[in-house]
Amino acid sequence: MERTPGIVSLVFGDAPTSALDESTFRQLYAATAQPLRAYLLHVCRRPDVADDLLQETYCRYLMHRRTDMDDSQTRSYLYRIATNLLHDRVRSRVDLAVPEIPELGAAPDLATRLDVRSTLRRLKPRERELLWLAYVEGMNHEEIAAATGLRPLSIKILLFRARRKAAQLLAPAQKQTRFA
Amino acid sequence: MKPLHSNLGSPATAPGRWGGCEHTSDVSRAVRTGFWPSALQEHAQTCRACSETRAVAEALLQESSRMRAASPAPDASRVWFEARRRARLHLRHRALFWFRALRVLTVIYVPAMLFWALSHRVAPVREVWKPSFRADFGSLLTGPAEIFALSGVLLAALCIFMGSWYLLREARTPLHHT
Repeated sequence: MERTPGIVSLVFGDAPTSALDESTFRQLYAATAQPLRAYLLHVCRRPDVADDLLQETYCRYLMHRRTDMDDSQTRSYLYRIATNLLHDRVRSRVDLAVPEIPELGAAPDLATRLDVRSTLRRLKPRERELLWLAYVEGMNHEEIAAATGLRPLSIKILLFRARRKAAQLLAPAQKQTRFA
Repeated sequence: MKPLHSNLGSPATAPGRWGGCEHTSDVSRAVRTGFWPSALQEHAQTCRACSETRAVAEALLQESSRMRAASPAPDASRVWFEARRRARLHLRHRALFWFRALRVLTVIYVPAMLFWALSHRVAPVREVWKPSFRADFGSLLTGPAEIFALSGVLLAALCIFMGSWYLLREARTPLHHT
């Protein structure tokens, strides 16, 4: 959905977008920002990059949004922008170093959680995206396709493979938890 | 939620082409909501696809809640301010495009007009000057020169109008909107 500004766009401007007042934006932000940030953080693994991409996502949304979008389409559109931005970051390879997420306090199952996290980190970014959208956001295949730009039929196959891989990676960690 | 079939407990329930199960979405929803019908719970223990779905979904939801608790999203006003700043910058760039076009037109037209003026010798000053455009300059303009000059004036006016339009729009986009 990202557009390259061509000469026509440069001369005549973008399609008209209605003015969005700040209170409406705040409502939208309150409803969508936290899950969107978690998604970005899950895929890119860096809080600073996730915050940067989150801000960029909303800026692009405000610049290019259409007026006829309902809540579901708005959500898909936001995830689409975020996913495209993530892919750009992954392609540029500038943020791959030092993937670290700060831990909040000490928890009794810290070792297990770190184990699960390191396991999930071994998945590819695309696999993490698909699994997150399907199982955390609860999106169906069509919604995932809209958010990622993939075909719905491909989603089924890719999601199956990602789930199987994640389950195989998680199995030792969960077995360890059960014995503990 | 789809109705649970009578053969839900079977491990071979509705295997898909890719080894999936039609109840994986129900399992995923049950993990998110915490509402587990007993039939679905039994099915998830025996069906490979559903047990995998359950394991992965639980791990991801734990990760999600941890992430949300660890650090909240940036303040909305910060994002709003940045978006407004970019919108203003965007409009300024559009205005700049038109003013740059005006500069290009100037670079083209001024030398052309100078060349035209020098190539047409101005008649000596008359003793009785008549303040008439046609009398003094009109005679020097041939047909193509008139069109050339007129098109330059119109293009310059268009550039000034469009540039000013975007500058006005930028001025009407305050950073702090109420």
